[in-house]
Amino acid sequence: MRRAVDRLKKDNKKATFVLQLTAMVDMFTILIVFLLKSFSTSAVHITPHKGLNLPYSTTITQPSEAIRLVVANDGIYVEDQKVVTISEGKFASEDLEDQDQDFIRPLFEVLDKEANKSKDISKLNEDHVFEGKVVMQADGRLPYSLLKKVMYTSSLAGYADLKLATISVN
Amino acid sequence: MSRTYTKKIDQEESSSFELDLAPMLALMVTLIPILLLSTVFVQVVVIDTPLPQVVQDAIEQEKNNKDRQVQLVLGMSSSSGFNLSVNIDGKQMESISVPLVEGQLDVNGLHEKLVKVKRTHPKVFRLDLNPSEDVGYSDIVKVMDSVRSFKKEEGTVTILDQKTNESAETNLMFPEVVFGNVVEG
Repeated sequence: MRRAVDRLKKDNKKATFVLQLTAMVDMFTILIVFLLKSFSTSAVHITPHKGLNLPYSTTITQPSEAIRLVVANDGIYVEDQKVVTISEGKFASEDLEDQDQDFIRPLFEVLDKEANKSKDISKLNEDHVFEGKVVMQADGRLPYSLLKKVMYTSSLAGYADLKLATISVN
Repeated sequence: MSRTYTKKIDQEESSSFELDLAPMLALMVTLIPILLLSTVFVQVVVIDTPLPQVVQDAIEQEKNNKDRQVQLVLGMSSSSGFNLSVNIDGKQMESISVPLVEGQLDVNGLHEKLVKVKRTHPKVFRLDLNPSEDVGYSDIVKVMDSVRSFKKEEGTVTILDQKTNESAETNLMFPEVVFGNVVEG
């Protein structure tokens, strides 16, 4: 009996083991290499708007700090705030100016407000300069007739340095 | 001799050890969340397209552009294809048409024509794009990509700087695409 207890104690000591981490380290190494490949050092990141099909492009120009304008199938958003509704690829007639059918009044008012705000800041802070930059994320399926109205209104509000957001194919 | 050899093997066996991977694992567990935060799976890039300025800015720009004698205007329609006008001093000197191919815009055909135009006018980098209202936005982006630079096999173009009298080679064709018909209303 005593011998059996001694043997059990001896066996228990042997039962402690070292965790085999080699496979896990291998997996993490592969994961880190993959993440490093997708690592971005760009100062500005643009997250595509939900449900938006951005066109693909070969350009390599990185986005810079600018006002975000989204032209989706359901409306126009400025800094994630919906300002105009689009239904069946058209603007509501009350949103367009009677005299000028390319002028979108609600969009102009929001952009003009943003421009004035930026100009006021630049008066107080010399480092801040209003450059009229706008990054437009537009759905690739939209017709030019609709985008032309947005561009026209944007340029009238002082945002003439237009940058078209696309998905990189490189 | 054989005894010494056996002893050596015994020493080697006893010197083998388990590598402690726990600190490495701890490092990786820290690194992975940091990298996940900075990882971009869909990279968004931009195409610069300065819009024609209105009123005072437009006038000033035109004044500054007096040196620009050659102007390229590209019309784009999903029903008739491309129509490129080469204007010199405001007069249309050449008109090049690129019709549709199987009902689709012939972007490759346009690129070939523009390569010839670029070789004739190497100093021109601006192209005025006038798409018709029915053209889709993704088609416009395809055209902008096509006119931006030469393909690798097409080589480069040499530009002579008149001030320094030095020549420089570039693979850029028309990187400055401006929507010419936006301000027309």
